[in-house]
Amino acid sequence: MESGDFIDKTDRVLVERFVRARDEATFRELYRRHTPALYPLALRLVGGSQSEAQDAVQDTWLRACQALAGFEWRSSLRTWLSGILINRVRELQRERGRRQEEELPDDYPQRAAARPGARMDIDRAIARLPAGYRHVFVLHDVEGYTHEEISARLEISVGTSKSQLHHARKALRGLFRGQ
Amino acid sequence: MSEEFEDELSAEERRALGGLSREQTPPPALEERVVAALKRARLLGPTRSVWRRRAPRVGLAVAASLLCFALGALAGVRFSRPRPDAPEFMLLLRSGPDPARPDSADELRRVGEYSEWAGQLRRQGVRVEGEKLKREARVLRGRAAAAENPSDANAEALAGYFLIGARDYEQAVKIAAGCPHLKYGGSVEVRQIDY
Repeated sequence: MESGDFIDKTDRVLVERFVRARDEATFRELYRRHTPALYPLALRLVGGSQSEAQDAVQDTWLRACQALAGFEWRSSLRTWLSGILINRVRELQRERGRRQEEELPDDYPQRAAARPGARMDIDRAIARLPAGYRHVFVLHDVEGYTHEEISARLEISVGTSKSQLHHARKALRGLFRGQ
Repeated sequence: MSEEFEDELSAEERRALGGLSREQTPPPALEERVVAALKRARLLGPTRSVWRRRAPRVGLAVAASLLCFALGALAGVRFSRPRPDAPEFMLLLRSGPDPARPDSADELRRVGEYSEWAGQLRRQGVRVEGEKLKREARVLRGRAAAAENPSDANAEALAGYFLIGARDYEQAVKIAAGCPHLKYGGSVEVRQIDY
């Protein structure tokens, strides 16, 4: 993930201006540059709930604005924001008592495809994965993170990351074969 | 499908995943909602402390409480701001040996962290308000003129405070133990408001 990053000069200029002036116009520029990428990531991580995704994006910007002055540009702004978002999604789900299932239920394909008449699309199928599988799958197969990056970000071992990705792929393949 | 973890995506699967949108126009109302939240948190506009802004009211109330406590002691009358339903505790934050330099990026980052901690408490239903204090101070003792900046000579200068609602001391101390101030070498004194 980091290898593909580069520090966008426009981001740097905007951040420096924002830290200096804290003005609304500069913030809106930053918001409009990055939220179109943060929002679908949030939607996928939370499993499709628009309200939860919006909460996560809002909190991400709140945290980012609190910490921007100390941002050291060791990654791109987009990667840094995504990291904040991932942490916030996990916290929100813990706060809301979301059960972090580690195993798929036996009837996963049937339950996942339960909406009558609905052809399963990838996002809908991803949304029905247990949170742990979903997070790893989205970060690895959709966003391009390595297992090492996922391990660090989600505070799980590399082996767990690989295992959860394997099970997530297996579940999704089963789902699409069965439709 | 192999049971090994290193299963690979097929070309077709890669194409399907590659076709997922990585960018999506967020709901238009979200931008306004985020801007409003930033304004409420005082993160937009003139740079000021990002600790909660209700502090002036709390500060005045505390000052009034102290003043009226003194007057009440003379007159046999007890007075304070309206008594809350539950006990309240002051968390008095004193600097450690290595406080952040005023207005430095480090200080701003720390203040953001404290604000975030307070926000988390609020989301958990804890009543909490607070404010960072400037280092500059005036101290009055008896009839002596106000002394300037006595804190400079004090290794444990009062750096800020939080006012929290808690069931009892045990709960207040538990909450205080999570205050980020502690990890920066500062101390947190927990004192119950004496209603």
